Amino acid sequence: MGWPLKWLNDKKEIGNRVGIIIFLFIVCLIPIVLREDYYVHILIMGAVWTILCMGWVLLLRLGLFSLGQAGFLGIGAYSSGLLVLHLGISFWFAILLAGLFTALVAFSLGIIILRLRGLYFAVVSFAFGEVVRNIYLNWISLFGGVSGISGIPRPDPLFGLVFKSKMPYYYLIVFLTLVTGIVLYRIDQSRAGRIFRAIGHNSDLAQSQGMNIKKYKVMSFTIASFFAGIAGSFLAHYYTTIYPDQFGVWDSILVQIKATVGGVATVVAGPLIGAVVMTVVSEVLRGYMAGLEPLFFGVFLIAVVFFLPGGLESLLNVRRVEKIKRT
Amino acid sequence: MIQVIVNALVLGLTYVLMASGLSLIFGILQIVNFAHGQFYMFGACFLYWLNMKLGVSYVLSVLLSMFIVGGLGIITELAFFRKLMKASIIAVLGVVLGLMVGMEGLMEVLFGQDSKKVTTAFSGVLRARHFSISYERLAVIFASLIIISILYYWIRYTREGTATRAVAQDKRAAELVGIDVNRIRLIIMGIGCALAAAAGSLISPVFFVSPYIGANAMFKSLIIITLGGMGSLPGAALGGLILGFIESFSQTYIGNITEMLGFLLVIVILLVKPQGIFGVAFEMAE
Repeated sequence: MGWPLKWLNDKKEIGNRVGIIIFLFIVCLIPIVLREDYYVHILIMGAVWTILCMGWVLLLRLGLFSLGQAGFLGIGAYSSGLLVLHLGISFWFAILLAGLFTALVAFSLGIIILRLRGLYFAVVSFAFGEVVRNIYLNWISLFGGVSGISGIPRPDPLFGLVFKSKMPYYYLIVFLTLVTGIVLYRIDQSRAGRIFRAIGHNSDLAQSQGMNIKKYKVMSFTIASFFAGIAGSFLAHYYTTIYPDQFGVWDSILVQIKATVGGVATVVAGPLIGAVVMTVVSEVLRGYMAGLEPLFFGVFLIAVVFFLPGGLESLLNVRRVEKIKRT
Repeated sequence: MIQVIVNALVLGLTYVLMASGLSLIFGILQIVNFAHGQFYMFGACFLYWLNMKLGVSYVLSVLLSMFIVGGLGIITELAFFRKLMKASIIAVLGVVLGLMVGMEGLMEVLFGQDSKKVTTAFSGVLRARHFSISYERLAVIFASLIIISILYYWIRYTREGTATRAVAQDKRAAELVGIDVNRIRLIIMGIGCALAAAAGSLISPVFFVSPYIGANAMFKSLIIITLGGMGSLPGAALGGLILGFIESFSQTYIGNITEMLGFLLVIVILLVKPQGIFGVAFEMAE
């Protein structure tokens, strides 16, 4: 039990780590202070997007520009929903199984399509997301077509948390996001993470150094999709109704927009900032006028690429801290 | 049967127009223009405005809409793509996807969310013993064939066309022999977007016009150029026709599985020949 103390004892990191703890504390207090279901809902969606964006940034480390992440979100949602509805297993097993199943799909797909370089991969992953959506639309007996699946049960109570209001969902998704963040951060900082960067920087050189590029690409693709599947499973049991258009091309592109706007220098901070800020913005805009939301997102994304290449996180100087850490 | 083939040609040839533009842009600018579907959608919307609201004749509306959207393409190159020549993949795709999303939003604001119908200028049906084909479909086929032939002639026999092929083969070498690469980029963005607008405005009497038609068209042209090989014009032509036939026949005999079949085809091609059917070479088939 000594590790929390050891974790805080690192002199160089103390500022950051105390900051993280305070941040988590505030995050846990937010719904108690806000008390408004609608705001809590927006934060829940922000957290779901954060999970997706973090996975997306991990893929970007290897130069893989994925435009099909919503496809994996959908696979997680549908598989979890169907497992609970038809086999009657508990949500807490289903969420794991959904993650594993999504990872399995990503693994088998990855073996084929990860031979592709940069742009080709972007194109095929884009196509993949659309194809998955078409399967839901056309396989009506299993996936329910346009109207999707409804009546997905809410999660069973756990540790006294009864999933009737938004609050337990909020704490569940915060926990899931935290776990995803820690795992992806550790991977990003590990030897594997350095290999990822090497591959992203110059895959030929990395290969000539004896790195098995294919293996690492499939690995990162599987990991990112596992977490997307988990997020999808959460969504299915949060909405209790899922339909194909929730997991379309637009959502895959949103992942990319939110992550790019947030910044990709770190695997956690940028996606978190981008996902939460943009989710709030999109909720604000949606009320005014149809079309305003995509218009703003497009303009904002282009503006960020040209005028703020580090994304929103570079405004907070997180990036500078990262650089110091590395040297 | 003949009706199914005619439908396949209508779809296939508009896909060819669309995918040729996308392929040209990729060959010269090295950018996968994800906003290409939105130029297609813009073409259809401008046609609706010109033809239905302002009462311009159909043929003139198609030409004007190609002209306007081609101009928008040139503006896009000047304002955005030119600055991305040495940028990273995340910047390039960020801008392209930003355009894709932003253009759709803009049209949602300007055009409204409802689907609108363009009445055809070529009403009437060609009747024969075993089949009947509407003139509007025949018009689409002929117009597409004319545009494709002009494109073929241009790229094969004119000075700019030759220069374009040179740039596609080797940009540096082309610069060395005195080709103005920036000018070629401008021309190609103009032509490519005009081709997308041609596809959009030609097909609009057959289908309907709405701000949301771009994404699906984009998806199909991506399938096509991946099948044919990115940057290859014959590849785009063959891929477009293949997808048109798949779509027409599967919709008639099986059901709506075009996307899945197309995607499966892409996976198979990538397993067997990862560069696409015609490889990355831009050369017109000798």
